[in-house]
Amino acid sequence: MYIMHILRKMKQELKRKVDWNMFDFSTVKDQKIADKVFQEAKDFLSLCHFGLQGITRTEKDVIKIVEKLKATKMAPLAFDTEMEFVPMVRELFSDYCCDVKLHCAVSYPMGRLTLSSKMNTLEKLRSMGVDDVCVCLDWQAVFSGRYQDVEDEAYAMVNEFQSDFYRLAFVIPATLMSDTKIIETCRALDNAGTVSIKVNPGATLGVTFEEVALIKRMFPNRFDIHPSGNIRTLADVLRYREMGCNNIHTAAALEITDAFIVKRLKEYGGI
Amino acid sequence: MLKEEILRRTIATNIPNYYVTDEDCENLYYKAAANHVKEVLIGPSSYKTAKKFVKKDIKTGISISYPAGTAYPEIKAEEIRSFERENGGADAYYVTAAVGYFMSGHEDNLKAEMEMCVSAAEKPVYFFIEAAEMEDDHLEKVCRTARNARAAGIVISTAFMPYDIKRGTAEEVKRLKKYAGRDLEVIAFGVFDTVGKAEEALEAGADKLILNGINMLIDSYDEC
Repeated sequence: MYIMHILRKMKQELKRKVDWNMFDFSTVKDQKIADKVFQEAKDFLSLCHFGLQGITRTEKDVIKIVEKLKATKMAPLAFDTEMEFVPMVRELFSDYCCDVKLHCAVSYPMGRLTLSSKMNTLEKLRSMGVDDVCVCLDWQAVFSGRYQDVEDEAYAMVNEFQSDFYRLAFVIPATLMSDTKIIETCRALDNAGTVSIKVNPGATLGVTFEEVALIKRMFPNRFDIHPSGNIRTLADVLRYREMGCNNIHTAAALEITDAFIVKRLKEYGGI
Repeated sequence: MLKEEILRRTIATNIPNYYVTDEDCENLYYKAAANHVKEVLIGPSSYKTAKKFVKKDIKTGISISYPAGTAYPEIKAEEIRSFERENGGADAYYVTAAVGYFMSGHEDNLKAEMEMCVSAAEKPVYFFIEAAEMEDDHLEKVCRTARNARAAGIVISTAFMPYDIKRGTAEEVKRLKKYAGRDLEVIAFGVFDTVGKAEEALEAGADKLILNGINMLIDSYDEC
């Protein structure tokens, strides 16, 4: 009997993990509190990216993740996808209650495309109506201290594309860089007229609070900083927001929003 | 298997590594030369530092759309064309195929990218796939399409470690070899950095081996 009970529990837990759903607001007795928290959660998720990328991702995987998002009736800051899935994702969101911006990464993650290939890819994404992009800088130039090359590369893209996308963020591998290299790279990006910097690409390279603090301290009120990778908890997101970051890349965006909802409901007496 | 025989069929690379400096890139060529490795595979932006080695004894392969391979076929072909226009020194191209899109049923896309890249290069073009994630039916289609497009060969994996996917082994070499026939080379890349594993891959039928860090292989050979 006991073993059967454990097995049933395990099965339920597995099903819960597979069919993960955002907090069910119909369980909140006070409708006013439910509405207020739902609106706050919507605002909260609107500062985070959400999506699915990678070499072996299939249409089926992407459809599943779009459905997961649609069940929340909320929109992230942008939905991250690959170029080839853009038409399908746009179609999938065509009947959705919220407007969802689409985000694609260029030369991800090591930035080894030549400048002309990066420009060509950006041109294609612009013509496809993709809203938001990040571009990995040439990391070999960054690690080798060729800051003029970094500036020239960023300048070419800023000049041609920055005003055409909601954000054009340059990705720097801060976690692999010394403080001096981070500062010199940011100086090159400053000279190039860059607005947004994505600090780390994710893909095992995660941001730290210190890296963001360093850039903020050295370039006060200069850059729109997008922390990325290694952001797994509500506390992480809240801390980056306190530091002034309003564009956060986390694979756990929905789970963190769920934790935010529970926290707020507890504070307001909704549960 | 003799060390010389393994190294003769080895392509030295650094493309899966996050941290690559100009000096690392130069050292890759020096290490290749010191160990009689005949080909080096690098990213396109690394060519700035590598071009001094062109026209020496070592061939240079250039990766295209690495590691994700999710760009449209015309973008990949244009990447090759612009590299040829601006640099021209590549001896071969290694293009990452749009694996996930192909596995979604878009064989037309695979055909288009293979044909467009081969015609853009007019040099040998190889395609990275992720064989361990693919059914035999997929591998058969990949090989047939590659042969028809006159691609030079298939690399069994991108060997990009941050991807949370299955890694190709000598088993994948065997599976691919079954469909590749004589016209298509099969190249092992990934977990083959010791003598034992390199031998396994070559004995399974791999025509070549891409190695990230030749030193590990040499060291493990010396320990044998």
